Amino acid sequence: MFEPNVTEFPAPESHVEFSYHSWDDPKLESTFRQLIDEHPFNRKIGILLPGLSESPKEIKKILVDDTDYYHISELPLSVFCTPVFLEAFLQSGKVYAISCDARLDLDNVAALTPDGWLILLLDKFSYQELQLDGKLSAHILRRPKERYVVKVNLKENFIPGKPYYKKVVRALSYVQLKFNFWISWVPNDAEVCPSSIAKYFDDEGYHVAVRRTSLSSSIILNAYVPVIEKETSDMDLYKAEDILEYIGCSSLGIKLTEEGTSVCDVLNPKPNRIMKSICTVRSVGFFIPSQSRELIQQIRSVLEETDEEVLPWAAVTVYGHIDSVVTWNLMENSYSVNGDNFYTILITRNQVWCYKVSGPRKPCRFFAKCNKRI
Amino acid sequence: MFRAKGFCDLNIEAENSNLKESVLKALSLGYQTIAINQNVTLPSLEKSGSKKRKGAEEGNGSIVPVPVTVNLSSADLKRYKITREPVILTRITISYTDPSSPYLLKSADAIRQYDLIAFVPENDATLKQVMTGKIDVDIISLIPNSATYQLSRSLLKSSMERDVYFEIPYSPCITDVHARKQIIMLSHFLHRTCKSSNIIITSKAKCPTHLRYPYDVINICQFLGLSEIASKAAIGTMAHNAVYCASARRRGVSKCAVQITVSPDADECKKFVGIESAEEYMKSYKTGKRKLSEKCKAKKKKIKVDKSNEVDDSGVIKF
Repeated sequence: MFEPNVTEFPAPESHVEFSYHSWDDPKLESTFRQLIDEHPFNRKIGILLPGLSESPKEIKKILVDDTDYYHISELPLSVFCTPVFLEAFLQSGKVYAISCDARLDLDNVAALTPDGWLILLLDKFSYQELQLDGKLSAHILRRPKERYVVKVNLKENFIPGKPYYKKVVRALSYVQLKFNFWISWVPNDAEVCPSSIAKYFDDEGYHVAVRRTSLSSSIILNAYVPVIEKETSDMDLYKAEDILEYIGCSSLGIKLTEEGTSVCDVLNPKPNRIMKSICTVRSVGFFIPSQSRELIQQIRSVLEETDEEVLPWAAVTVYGHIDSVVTWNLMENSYSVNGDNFYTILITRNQVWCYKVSGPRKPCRFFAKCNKRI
Repeated sequence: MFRAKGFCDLNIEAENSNLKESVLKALSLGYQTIAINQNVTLPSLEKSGSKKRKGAEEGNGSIVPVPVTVNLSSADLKRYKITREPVILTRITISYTDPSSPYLLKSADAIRQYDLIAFVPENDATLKQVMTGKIDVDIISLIPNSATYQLSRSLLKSSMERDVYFEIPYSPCITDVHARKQIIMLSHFLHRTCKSSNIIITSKAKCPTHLRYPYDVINICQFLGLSEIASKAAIGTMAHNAVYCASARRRGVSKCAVQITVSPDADECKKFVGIESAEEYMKSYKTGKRKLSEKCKAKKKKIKVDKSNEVDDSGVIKF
């Protein structure tokens, strides 16, 4: 008999939230706000268009045009606290900045959200050197006490010359925390160019590089496509889950079968029909929420222009950055085996299905369960 | 003071089929901190008894070898697509049977050249010596045959309080069926006695093919009685702590000296000439304090006396 319980291997936990609306539902706006606008750091967008052999130009245009972002290497955090940066960029626009090339589970990571929160996830040694208050990471159950979250709001009560400002600046310049950042900036004033943030950092002497979003597409031929009814009075949740599974498989290029095997029991959802081609578009970059909103509107207009027989529905999946500190609404992200945080929106001519997938929320046990009590 | 970063593999054998390749492969798999290990077996006194004089003269320097390091050029790192800055440490593993071995004291300076010091105690007497802190130990790597030792929980607890870490190697699990059984037994034995705390997982790789991807190692660890978080900590934060504690031990106790300089615009009453007068001032200050505290005590006593009087008079205790 094994002493610790090693005979069970549970799958990694993940949360799926599902809701469906018609397009004229008044609750749709609040769902979109919670789902899209509160998810600031998006890394990848995947679009599934069953029935089309080529992706429409309008969709490609949205993904490629004006989606450049900037990579700044070795940026110390105290730069975000300079009075010039606070006034010129933070107060007069939305700054999206997240540390890249750093692992969420082991390295120090940082993010600057559009609300002005500077969020750091630090290991024990860096946290002890930094003279700022923080909390133990929410994903640690009693031990090991290794990871700490430090939050500083740079927008409220953060005035140069005041004691709190001095304390933060002293702490951040005492411990030289340097990160590589992806940055994009949306100014409140439409006449100001968003690239001025890159010029500012370049003038300060940091190495700034422009990154373009990449675009690729692929086609699956002669595949089954599930039929989605026009009116669903009583939604079957199992069916909704099956369709999410189908979207995931098709965007990876997997053809699902009608009958299960001993290896895989993921089946094609029923009812379905054969279509000539399924087009998938993938784009990797650094997307801000307004871009994904624009994309959804564009796909809706494409759906209305084309015939239902040609394009029955479309699905958009927006993947969050897996090493991002926060996910929806400043909730802490965890990376135990994977750092999944993404949402899928299925669009038909009269309905919207929203899926929200996030990693485990409960802190995991440090000690394995044992059969005997020690 | 150096620090470990990222995933750690604190045991890559220096007697390797291709050391540089192994190190580069480990780095390209995602490890960031790597320790190159050298094994040393201390001869016991009984064997060397007859050749005592000769052994003492010749073996003084030769027992502990010079640390092996690997020089990695930026071209090598580029070839293997390594972007993170590697941290490469040296480690010595000493296995011995005799607790009164003179070589430990003799070659103490040579051992201190290494960043990490690991011990393989081969019997109960040496295990006790290693765990009670009579010698500087960073990592204890037990022989994977739990019948050799009789570990007491109090001994384990005391060694954990001193931040000593236990090592479980995983590459013997891959190469040898018999070793796999014994390592699983050892790890379950550690789980029984100390709940698997203070455990680090290392590779003990003798060739590049013995190395595994960090997340695969996390899955292997589930067989060894560690939970998912604990197995991640075993190649992450626990290993960081082991390296940090080791470097702190090398550094020794932090001491400081006080230097007093007299600034010209200081008040007269606080002026000192040299450190002696300052010490005198401190002494007088201390005695003054003592007098004060005595006075306070006397006051308190008086109050107590007063209270007892009150109780006597009224019969009701008032606070």
